[in-house]
This record gives sequence, structure tokens and C-alpha cells, in this order.
Amino acid sequence: MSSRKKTLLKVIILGDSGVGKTSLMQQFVNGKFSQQYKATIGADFLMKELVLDDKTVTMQLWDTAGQERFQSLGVAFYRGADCCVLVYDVTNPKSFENVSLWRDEFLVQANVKNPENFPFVVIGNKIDVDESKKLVSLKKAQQFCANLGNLPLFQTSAKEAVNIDQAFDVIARNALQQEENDEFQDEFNDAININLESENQGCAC
Amino acid sequence: MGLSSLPELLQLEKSLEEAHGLVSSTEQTSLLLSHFELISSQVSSPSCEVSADEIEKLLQSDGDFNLAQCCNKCHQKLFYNDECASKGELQADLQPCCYESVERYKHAVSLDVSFWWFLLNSFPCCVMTLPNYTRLMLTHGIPPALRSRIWGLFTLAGNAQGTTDNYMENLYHSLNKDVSPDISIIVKDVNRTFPEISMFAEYSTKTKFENILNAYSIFDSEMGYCQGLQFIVAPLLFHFKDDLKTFNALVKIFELNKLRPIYDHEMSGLHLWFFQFDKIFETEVPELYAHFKELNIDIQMFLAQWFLSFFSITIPFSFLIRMFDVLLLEGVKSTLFRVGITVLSKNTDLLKTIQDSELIYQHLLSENCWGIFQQDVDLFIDSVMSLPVNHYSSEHLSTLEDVFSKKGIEDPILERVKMRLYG
Ligand SMILES: Nc1nc2c(ncn2[C@@H]2O[C@H](COP(=O)(O)OP(=O)(O)OP(=O)(O)O)[C@@H](O)[C@H]2O)c(=O)[nH]1
Ligand SMILES: [Mg+2]
Repeated sequence: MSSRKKTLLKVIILGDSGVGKTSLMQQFVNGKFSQQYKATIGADFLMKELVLDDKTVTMQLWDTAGQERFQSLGVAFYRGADCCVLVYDVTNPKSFENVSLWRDEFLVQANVKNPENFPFVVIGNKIDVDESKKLVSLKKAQQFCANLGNLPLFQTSAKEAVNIDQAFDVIARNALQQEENDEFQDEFNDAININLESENQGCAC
Repeated sequence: MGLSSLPELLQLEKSLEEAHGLVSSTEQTSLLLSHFELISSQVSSPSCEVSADEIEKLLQSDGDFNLAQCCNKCHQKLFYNDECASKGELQADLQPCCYESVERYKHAVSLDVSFWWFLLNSFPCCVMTLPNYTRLMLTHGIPPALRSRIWGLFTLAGNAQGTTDNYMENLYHSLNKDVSPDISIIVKDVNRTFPEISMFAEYSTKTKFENILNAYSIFDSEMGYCQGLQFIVAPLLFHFKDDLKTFNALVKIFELNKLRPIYDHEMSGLHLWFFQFDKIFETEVPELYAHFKELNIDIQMFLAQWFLSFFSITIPFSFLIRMFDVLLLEGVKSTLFRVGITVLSKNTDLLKTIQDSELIYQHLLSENCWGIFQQDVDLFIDSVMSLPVNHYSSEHLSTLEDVFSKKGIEDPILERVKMRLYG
């Protein structure tokens, strides 16, 4: 595979409104936290270049609106995603329950080829809060991720920049892996298509 | 009193009309007049009298300068912060050109006073007799000191004195006896709506803000709270200061402009808006349209953010306020469309050099798309107001709607939307 080709990794971030998706992305891309990020309406978009081992990749991060009705806008941009990040808020059990709904919704809308193998990463955000406010235990979250096929799980704080780079490193690696699999698959399919086409051409009908 | 300059105003009106006639055949006042017809069909009581003296005093009073933060020419900040602005304490190192911006609202010429007096006292008559002049004054911006009264008139949320009616008051208070199922998201959103503006950081403003959204989501419980509403409320509350009046205005703006379908659970109306905007974009900015087609750009990607938030996610606040001057008097949809077209057409040269669809999305979804105006709010509003209005008239929009409703259904989302809109 040529390494000179620009590698684009498309990542979609999903989760209930207010769990901190925008804050996580901003912390990762711009290295800062602000109380002033507005609610996301529709979708937003950020890019970041990064070096994984020796390879330079560009991450395209799609930040989405958490309120349910925005789903009716259509989610054409889910297609072609290389990784999907599912975010919940450790202070909000409902947002944790909804993680599996977000996953299902993604799988339906994104039309991925191998749903069992598609890379998801789960993030429990806002771990900087007081212990007493944490209402989703790490154990429960680990159990949940294990059940869904050992999904990587990170406990983060966008506010205090805890575990952000670690989480996004895994996100990027898994996305890259997926990209390469897909590319291989596409080349494989192309090869088949070429064969079919040449066969068709040979056919007299 | 006050109307001694009426002949002069009428004379100016006539020259404006002639000037427009020379440059174009479109009737630039048609949006104003047709939206105004809608408004005036709902007015029952004549507005109360405000004296010209009082208006003059208001126009000269200090305070409320936070919106004219920068000099129009050199972009120098006029005040160190909001607080200095509210006290009228100017920055020390202002250039001569800055004083013009400072003076602009402070010393309204007497002709302006007459005009605003006329508008406040009998706005139906004023708009009918001076449509071109009204547009000109709108383009210059409503003086901040008069804004809350004028917005109040045009949203039917209060009379010239700013008082609201009893029925709405009772309704508002009874709605707030309940708590919306969306309250937690409302509270979160209020906390992240223009927190950089000092007024919105105050506890008392936040409480009012929450009450308005709470009441509205119960008032129309089927629609419920939809994110985006907070950005319509913010500029209204900023000038009205009063939550009841803001709530009242919100109700009327929704009714007059038929906004509900774009915010309901299916957002069915928004798909029609996308379609109409696409057609207008194609005729108004064909070069860029072709470039977007080539790159397979999906305009909904940024239009959803633009329309549902009234551009508030990225627009500078001073631009937002001036846009509200226009949209309250000329209609929401036609104004949002014109602003969208203006942003696209002003950015055409830049966007045409970009071959990456992602970079185009990034530009249009971020503050960068306003960079072209260099903070010059007058340039922005001038560009919006000088677009030929015929493509944005309700007649033209309904012609496009006919095309939309008859269009073949090729997309499952559109299919659902149409079921909802047309049965
Ligand atoms: N304590 C704490 N607060 C956070 C953290 N991350 C985000 N927040 C706060 O949570 C609120 C919501 O954050 P956003 O990043 O806007 O949430 P979002 O998921 O993008 O929300 P939507 O755009 O509505 O879907 C804001 O008030 C943030 O300041 C965190 O790590 N710790
Ligand atoms: Mg967000």
C-alpha cells in the first residue's frame, strides 16, 4: 500500500446532549477547555493532523448534536466513517443507558459492512467531578463494554485534560486499522469488478 | 408636535424611490410591505403616544453601547469592556475616526427623531407612507435606546410604551407553575448561550432565560424544547430585559413567521427550506453553486446550523442584533435566506480556491465565514439589504414549494417529511 497517499480518518462523535462531545474535541484539537462552547446545532466539523508511528494522518472529526430530533435531519455524513466514539457523562446515568441506542442508530445509518468488527470507542466524560456526583460506576461501564465485544473504554475529563490524548490515540489507531481493512476490501472488490466487467464485455448479450 | 418634518421625510422618500427605480426594476420594499401587512392584520389597539422630546432624550442617553464596540473605520475597540460601555467610559487611545462611531447614536439629527417618533406612534402609517425611508433607517440600524420599543411593536409584544397585555401575563405565569420535561437541557443551554456577554452571565438573566424556554416548551408541548430556540430568545431578552415581554415576542414571531415546522420533532419544514434555498443559491451564486456540485457538497451540512440557530453559533453578536432589526420588520425566512446567500456570495472567491469539501464545511461552519466582513456590521447589513428581494418574496417561495411538493420521492427522509407536510 502506498504510504505517500494522504490518509484521511473519518471519526464520528455521538452521545446525548451535554455529555461534553464538543468539549472533548476542542480539548483534543486545540488543547483548551472553555465554558463558552455553544450547544451544537446540526453538526460541526474539525480536523487534526497527527503522526501515528511514522505515518501522518489527518483526522476528520464530526461533532454531532445530541438532541434526538436532529437525527431527522439525515445523517448522510455517518457513511464512510472509520471509527465512532460514543460518549456518556459519568454524572448522568441516562446518557450511559443511551450509549447502546447511539451505537445501534449509527450502525443502521452508516451502513457499515461488518457491524461486528466496526471500531467503537466508549468515553465516560467529566470524571473531574466530586466522587459523590459520579453516578455511573467504572465497573458498570467496563461490564457494558465487555458485553459489546470488548470495546475500548476511557474515563476522561475534557475540563482538566485527563486521558484525552490516550483516548484519541486509540481512536486514531482503530480508525487507521479500519481504513486499511476497508481499502483492502475495496481493492479486492475492484479486482472482482474489473473481472466481472471484462467478462461482461466478452459476453455477446 | 414631532411631525413638522413630515414634508421633508416625504420628499426624501420620493427621492429614494426614484433612485431605486433608476438602478433596478425590482420593488425593494415588497418584503417590508408584505410582512408588515401580516403584522398589521393582528394589531387591534393603536399605539400610545411617545413624545418626540422623550425620543430625543433616549437617543442621547448613555449606555447600551456594548453593540457598537468597534469603530466602523479602524476597528479599534471603543470600550474596554461591557461595563465601561454601559457607563459610557471610552477607551483612552481612540482615533479621530472612532468618535464618529461613538457619536452616531448619541446625537441623532432631528430628522431621525421625527422619523422614529412617527414610527413609534403610528407605525402602520409610517411604514405605508415611507417604506423606502423605513428600509434605509433599518439598514442604518435601530438606535439601541429605541430598540426594545420598536422590536416590541413589530413583534406585537408591547405597545410604544412597552407594556404587555394581561392575558399573556397570566398565561406566562401559569405555564411556569409547571416544569418542562426538557428542563435539564434548557438549564445546560442557558449556561452556554453567549456567556461572554456580561448580561447573560448574571444569575437573574439566567433565571429569566430558563423561565422563557420552560414556558415555551410547555406552551407548545407537542413541539417541546428544541435546541436553537435559545438563540432566538437571547437577542430579544438582551434588549427587552423583561422575560414576559420576550416570551410574548417569541410566541408572536413563531406565529407570524410559521416557524414551528422547522423545529418540530421531524423538522419537516426545514427540508422545504433546504430545497428552496438550494434553488435560490443556484440562480443567485451560480459559480459557487457549480463548484459545490463538483465537490459534492451537501449544503444541509451548514444550512441546518445556520437556520436553526439564526446563524448564532458563529455570527458576531453585533451582527446578530442588526440582523434582528431586519428580520423582525421584513420577515424571518426571507432574511435568513438573504443572509445565507450574502455569506456564500461574499465568500465565493475564497471558496472557489478550495478543492477539499471538508475545508469548505469547516469554513462555513466556523466563525471564519464572517471574516470577509472584517467586523464591519454596516458592510454586512448593506450587503444583505441590497440583494434584489424578488427571489425571497412569499410568491416566489410558494412557487418553489409547488415544485418541491411535486418532486419525485427518491429519498426515505424526504418521503416522511412530505407525508407530514402534505398528508
Ligand atoms: N465538569 C466537567 N464539565 C464538562 C466537561 N466536559 C464538558 N463539560 C460541560 O458540560 C456542558 C456541555 O458540554 P458540551 O461539550 O457543549 O456538550 P455536547 O455533548 O457537545 O452537547 P451538545 O452539543 O448539545 O450535543 C458544558 O457546560 C461543559 O462546560 C468535563 O470534562 N468536566
Ligand atoms: Mg456539542
